Amino acid sequence: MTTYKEVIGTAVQSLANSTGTQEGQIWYDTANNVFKLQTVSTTGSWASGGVIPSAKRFNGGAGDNVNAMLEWGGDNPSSGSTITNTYDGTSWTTTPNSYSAPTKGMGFAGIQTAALSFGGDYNNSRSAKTFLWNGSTWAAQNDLNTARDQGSGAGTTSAAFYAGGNPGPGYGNNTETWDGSCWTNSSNIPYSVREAGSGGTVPAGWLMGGLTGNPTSYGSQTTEFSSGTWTSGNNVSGPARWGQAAAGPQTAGWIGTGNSGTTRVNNSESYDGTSWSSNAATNTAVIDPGSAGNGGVSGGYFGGEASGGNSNVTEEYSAAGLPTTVTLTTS
Amino acid sequence: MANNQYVVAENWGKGFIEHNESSKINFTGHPGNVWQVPVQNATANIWISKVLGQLKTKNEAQAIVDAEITAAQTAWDALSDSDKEISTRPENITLEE
Repeated sequence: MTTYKEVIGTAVQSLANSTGTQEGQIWYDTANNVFKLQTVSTTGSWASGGVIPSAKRFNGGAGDNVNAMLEWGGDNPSSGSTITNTYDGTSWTTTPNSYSAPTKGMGFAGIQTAALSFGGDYNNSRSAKTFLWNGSTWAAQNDLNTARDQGSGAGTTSAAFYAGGNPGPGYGNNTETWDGSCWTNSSNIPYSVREAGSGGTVPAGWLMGGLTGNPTSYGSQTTEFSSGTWTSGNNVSGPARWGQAAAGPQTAGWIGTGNSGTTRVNNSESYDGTSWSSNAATNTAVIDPGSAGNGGVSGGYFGGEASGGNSNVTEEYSAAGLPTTVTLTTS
Repeated sequence: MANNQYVVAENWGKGFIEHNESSKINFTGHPGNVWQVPVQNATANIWISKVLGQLKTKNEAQAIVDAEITAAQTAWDALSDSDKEISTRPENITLEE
């Protein structure tokens, strides 16, 4: 009989834990008396992160990886918040400089040190205001053309879009693009929607799902924003939803949690620019959290409205490829 | 036979649930710090020990969740119409066997 050593060139090591093992290595776990395989995860997964200092929903989020995220504003618990917090992959820290007035339900774009916040409910009024975060303070910029909240935004501080939302009261299909100094009206989304997931930038953005006309109508569709026009993409494979966490470029997006009808869901999926694939489920289920990240790397969502009220939980996303250990069995 | 077990454990944040745990089993968080994990599962049992989870029967866990949701529904019912427009009334949750 051919032995493992003859095939691999070395004998199976007996180890107390996986420290020092390599991808593809089979080893014997002396602590549990089982054979194990060191491999990598094949789907995105979720883990608990540091809690934000106060529970909130409808907060903004920016960042391209889990170790450098920003969150601000939000509904805390029923009035808007001005607080801005930074995340280092372990814990949130409140910055000395707050937003200029309580704000929630805004669009957001950018990274931890250069973020854009636009629209939303600003000081208890549906707003067209835009603010730029330079890593330490927020500064007012030129307004949107149409005031609205609960729209979907994404991009950078020099190229962003804001689509749909609630122009008051109702559902909008407006799209505006930001060039670093001004907002310009662009082609409308083919349907009216608010609280859709979004990601990407200009000229390559995306929307997924959202409330599409009334509180019981919500979508599973993906709509891509490319070179100023909207085109249909593939549906998600899991539940239709609204109020979900979402982030990432058009070729590496992710969504997680949200509301499917009257039920919060914890499904998560990744988008490669063509189709969606399932990730591991999120550990909590909320509506309208702040979110940030890149589906090909990492990210997360923070806050949101849980079944028992606003949440202070952070869920960290990691793309497939994380080192993991599986137990080998004969079945 | 039951597929799930229920524990009460407070989510302290970083490290409470790790990627290598959530990629092996499904965790479902409910109001009242109630967590649903698979029964007769080594990963779940090790996690319960790690977080010092207090095991609850399904009925005990359901009572905790119900109390939290009833309180949240009462708070929602007291909101103004404009606040209700941008939120959803907390839904009842029925825990699974």
